[in-house]
Amino acid sequence: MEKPEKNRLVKNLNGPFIIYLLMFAVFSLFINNFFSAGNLNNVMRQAAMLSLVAIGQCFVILLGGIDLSQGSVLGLTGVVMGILLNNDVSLGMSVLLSVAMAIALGLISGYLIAYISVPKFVATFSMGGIALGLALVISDGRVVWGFPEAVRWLHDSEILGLSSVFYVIFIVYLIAFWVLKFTRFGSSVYAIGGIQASAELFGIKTRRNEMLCYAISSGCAGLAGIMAVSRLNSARAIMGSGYEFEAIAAVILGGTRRLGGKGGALQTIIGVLIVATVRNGLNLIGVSIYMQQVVIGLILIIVYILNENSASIKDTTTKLLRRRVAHNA
Amino acid sequence: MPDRPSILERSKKILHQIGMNQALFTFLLFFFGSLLFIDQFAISTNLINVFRQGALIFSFSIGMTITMLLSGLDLSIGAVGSLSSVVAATLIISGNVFLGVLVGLIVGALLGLLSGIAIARFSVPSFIMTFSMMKIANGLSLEFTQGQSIYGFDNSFRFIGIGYVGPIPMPLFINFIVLLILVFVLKYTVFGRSVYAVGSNKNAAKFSGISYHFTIMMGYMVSGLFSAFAGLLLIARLGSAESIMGEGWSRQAIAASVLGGVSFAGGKGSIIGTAFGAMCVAILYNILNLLGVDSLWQEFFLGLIILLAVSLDCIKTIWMKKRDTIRQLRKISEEVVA
Repeated sequence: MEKPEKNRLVKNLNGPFIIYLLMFAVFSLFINNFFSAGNLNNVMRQAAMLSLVAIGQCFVILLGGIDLSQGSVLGLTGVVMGILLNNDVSLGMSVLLSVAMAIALGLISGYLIAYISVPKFVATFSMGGIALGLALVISDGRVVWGFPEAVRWLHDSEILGLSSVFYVIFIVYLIAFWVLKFTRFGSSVYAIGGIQASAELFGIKTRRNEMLCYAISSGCAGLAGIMAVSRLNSARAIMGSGYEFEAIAAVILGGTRRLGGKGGALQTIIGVLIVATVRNGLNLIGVSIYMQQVVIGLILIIVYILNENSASIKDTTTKLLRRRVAHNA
Repeated sequence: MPDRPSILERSKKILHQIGMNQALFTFLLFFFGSLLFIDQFAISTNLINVFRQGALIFSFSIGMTITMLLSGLDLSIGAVGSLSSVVAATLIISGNVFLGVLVGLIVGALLGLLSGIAIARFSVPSFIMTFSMMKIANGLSLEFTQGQSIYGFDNSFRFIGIGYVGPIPMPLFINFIVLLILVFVLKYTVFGRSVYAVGSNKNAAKFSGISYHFTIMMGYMVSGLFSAFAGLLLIARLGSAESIMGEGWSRQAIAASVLGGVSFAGGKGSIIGTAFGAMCVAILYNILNLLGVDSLWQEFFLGLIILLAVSLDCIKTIWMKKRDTIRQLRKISEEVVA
């Protein structure tokens, strides 16, 4: 007799969510100071920027791609915004212009990937080089600072006792959730990730949608860049380095994967929480920032292997179990 | 003798066989362009510098080329090279030059083998695996050195980097020998041929009995090995080892391979092409320096060149596909008419 299918949302969330809860429980039990309001607040703050970068990366990974340019785009957006501000452009205008520039960079690499079939990692990797180079050149390799007060207000202001950053993230994730679940564009993203050729045969505009995904990814990195500027009150070309890696880790740890159309916004937020919590826990037990990178890299690879091979692992285990049962009988 | 092909035709054929006409053309364009337009370029000290730089770029592009021939890529060459050379450096300053070199090479090969296993056995995409390997190796080497540089090598070790064989700088000499060996390996050994076979068509290679997993694993191991080799050459030349010295290698290596005519689709390109591509990148850096362009621009130009070269290659492929289809259609229509 077949079991009734569980609620799909719950089913897809299960694994990573349980891992997160377990990790949270273990950390709270064994690490001093982990379970305190100050520290949890800290985790949230660390997760804030990452969550924005990761939701962009999520779109691209669902397509079976990768965006290696996010860190550099983050830095470039911050530097451009800083320089615009220092040249007396209004805050709103400079935010708009710099995010538009980030989206334009994403559109360029997306165009190359989708229409000229440049390999995705080459296009985004060299776009990262171009963005980093531009950011270094226009900032002269220095820190850009001395912004008007209003910049910090973006980060420090509170609405109903919660930092306004939280609301920005909430809105972005709400939009991402809606787009991925309930729009034609969203379902085509899952379809393209599955099998591109058949998606094309079904009349999905695969090329256009692929290009748009890279633009979204870059735009999210740009938003994170603005958040970084308002948080640090300064901008540097290299301030985003490494974010693309953590974003990829977060998306994959959250359980998003290309084949089978698994994952989405909710999974990504859990992945972000896992990465931020791991970082925080390792920090508290005094693991150096370099080793944290090593640990996250190892976890990423192991989880990726388990994720992608879970079907075959399940098959083998059921086979073994069956053989055992047959043997006993 | 009328039926013998002319020298021009024959040399054209040979060039085509070696598969480097595009690479050679790019190199000659770069070389003579800078000879013509930039005054200080032709000075012998500068030229030797360019060749020395080119040799270094070639040494770390080897891994990228082989993995690209396998239709993957290795983003971890810089980090693996730095990690193995800081490990080697600590042994070398304690007096064991030979042991240090050996351990450095083994560390590189092992890390490469690890990514190879994950890519071949567990079918992790090469960019995700090698990108994570880059972060892992980078973190390990930073932890190992705590951000300090290691210096004070024995002269016998530094000879590899700064010595001369006759008038030829040692790194150039070593890399030339490596180039010859690799040309032989890729052309005439089972491993070399299976690299091309696996890269150009994975399934066909599988069905013709080539050990597909083994070839990929070995390919990434060789890539790690040559990253370590490049790291050792660099620390012998600089006289100090740092954990961040491999930053930017992967972009330079991609540029060298792509300019050398190695295709990301896999199975297309040659190691000689990469050698010419590496020279092109070295010349580019040299020109930027001579023209007094700020070194901050280098990353920008490198990215731009990669994008342009790869896009042109892709456009060429699309265009050729279109041409072939049109030809076929024409043939069919002619047959139908006839």
